[in-house]
Amino acid sequence: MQTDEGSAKPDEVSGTAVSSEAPVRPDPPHEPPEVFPLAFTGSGREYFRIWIVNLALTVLTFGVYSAWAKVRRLQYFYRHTRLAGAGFDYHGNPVTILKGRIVGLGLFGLYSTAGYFHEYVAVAIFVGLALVLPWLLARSLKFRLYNSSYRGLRFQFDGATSSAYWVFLSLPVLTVLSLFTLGPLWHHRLKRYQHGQSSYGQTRLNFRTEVGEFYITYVVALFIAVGLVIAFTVLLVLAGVIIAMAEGPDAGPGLTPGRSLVVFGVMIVYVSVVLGLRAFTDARLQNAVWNRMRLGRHRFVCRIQPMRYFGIQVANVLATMATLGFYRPFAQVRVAAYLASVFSVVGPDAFHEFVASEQQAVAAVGEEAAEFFDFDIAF
Amino acid sequence: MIAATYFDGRTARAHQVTLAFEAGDVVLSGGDMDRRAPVGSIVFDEELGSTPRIVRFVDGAFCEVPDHAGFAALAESHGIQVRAVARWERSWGVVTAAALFLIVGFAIFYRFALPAMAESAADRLPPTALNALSRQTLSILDRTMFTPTELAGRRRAALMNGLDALTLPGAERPRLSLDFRKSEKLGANAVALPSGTIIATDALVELMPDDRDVLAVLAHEAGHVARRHGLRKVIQSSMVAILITWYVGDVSALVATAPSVLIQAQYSRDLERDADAYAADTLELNGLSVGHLANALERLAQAHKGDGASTGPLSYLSSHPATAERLAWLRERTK
Repeated sequence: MQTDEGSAKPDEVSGTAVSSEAPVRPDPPHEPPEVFPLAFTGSGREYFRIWIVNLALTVLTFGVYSAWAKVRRLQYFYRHTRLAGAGFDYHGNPVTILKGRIVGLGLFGLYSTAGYFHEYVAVAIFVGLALVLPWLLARSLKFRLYNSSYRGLRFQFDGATSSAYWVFLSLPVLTVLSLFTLGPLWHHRLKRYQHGQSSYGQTRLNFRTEVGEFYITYVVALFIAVGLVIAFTVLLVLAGVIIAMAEGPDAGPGLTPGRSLVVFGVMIVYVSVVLGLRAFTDARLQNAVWNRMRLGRHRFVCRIQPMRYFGIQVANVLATMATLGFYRPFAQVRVAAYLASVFSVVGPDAFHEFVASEQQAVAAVGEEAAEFFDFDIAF
Repeated sequence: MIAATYFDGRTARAHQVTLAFEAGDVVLSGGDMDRRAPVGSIVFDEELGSTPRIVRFVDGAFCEVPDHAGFAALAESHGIQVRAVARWERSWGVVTAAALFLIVGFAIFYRFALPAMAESAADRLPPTALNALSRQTLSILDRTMFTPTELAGRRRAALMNGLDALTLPGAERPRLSLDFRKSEKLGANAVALPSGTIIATDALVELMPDDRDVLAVLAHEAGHVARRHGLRKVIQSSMVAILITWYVGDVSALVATAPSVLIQAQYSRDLERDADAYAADTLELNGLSVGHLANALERLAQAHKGDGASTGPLSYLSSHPATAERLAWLRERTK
């Protein structure tokens, strides 16, 4: 099926992606496509050492080194992500990132202290931030992609700032006003904005996932959530009754071992339902987005298994908490390795047809500020 | 000579080449490639784990070199050094030192810096924030633990007047107000909200026929207010919660259960003793015996004996210093 897609639009491809240097070869009509699996070659042991040296240096320099640490972290993950005999690379400049972080810290300080000012000042700060953030997020996407490369060609993001206001400001407001019935639509537009305006070299990514996929995913997630909540409520009520009967009618107030067990159970159930639903929607939507995506004559295969992904996340959270945080680098490597292992690119050749485009450097303000507000829209 | 993959920076095509150093130049050859550039114009990216070494030319072209050992031997013979950070990352000694440094640093931060930060933040919070926080806490407590008081109006008025009449230590008198609630769950207890509202339970008042004993407990709670203990604890816990959420990632759900723990959690040993000292000062200032506080403590300890709260597996959350210890301290003071 992929060959049909690939050969159906030869004009479009040759229009954008034929290099002036590469000899122009007519495509063989039925050349079978090659599958290039993505692989992550890093290891937790190795990354742990990089991570801990980064962290210690960051603490010793009162946070200044964090910009250099970020570059090393991203380079480690990018360069270990291998596809068709080559790695990705990250080119962010630490000094630019540091400047962006200082601006981000200032904005975040303003946001977190807004409550202490007079009401009108606070409102003005919130409105001001709401107006600035979409612009910052658009800059963030630009910075991240501009500084990412594969085979020596940079990625690029060309989303218009006006679209950023639509996606990051108007749609969220409309979503709330519609009592979240527009939520899946918003998510779809967000992904379309993020991917559809991105290019590799001169070749634009073609985002083709329908909004229906998002609605189906969220409706199924809703049904699962309701089902789980009902099932667990029944179980908890049963547990409560059993404990009450075991303790007898004279038991006083306070936490007995049985009751603590129930409280603990509620917490575990709550956390796993939230994590599980996140894993389900994330996995299903990433699959839906990437399996329909095209890049020139290349397409993608993404097969994240929700249960597997959920298992990895639960194990990671538990191990990170149990080791007082020291498992974190291993957790990050595990996630990267899993996501890479289920992703591949299918195309006629090893990306020979792609060429670079002229680009200008991008400031890091957006990305660093967005990071402070904990927006993570990259994948 | 060493194997490398060359990309020209303009197309995605990979060229398999060999890399060599010749007469101060870096030389690439193989296939249709033949490129030569002075070593001084080349950027050798710092080593990063086992990721390929990257050799960059000025025009954006670069080579990936997978063979670290081979590259290191070749490069070092031409005076290209591994930079410090990469060397540290390779050394388990440095890594162990970094881990120890972080653990010790975090312990010091948690024990000293965090309380100090919480204290300074608590002193800076404006009264509007305190009132909002207190109102919210009280409304949660009203829904979950409290029912309206059933105490006689005269007893309540007497206690309110008694608290108002107390001279309090310190230059600035904290704004205090007294309120009463009935609570099955808390039993005989008093809660101080950061705004200065003290809630005494019916059981507490009923437990102590002498108003002066109750006033001693209220003075203890006034100490929590004056020294902003409740606020400091809330700020400190929120800072820890924020740190954990930010660090572990997706456990916001877990952290969301923290507030309910907070409301029931008790003050640390130091803070409790601080409030006792404040109460003792208050009693002395008003010509009352410190023995009233000791009386009250004894009665409270008696009333709470056999509570599930101090025997359950979660009792470590409660850090109330043993009453015996506090009583001993008070007796020491009265001498």
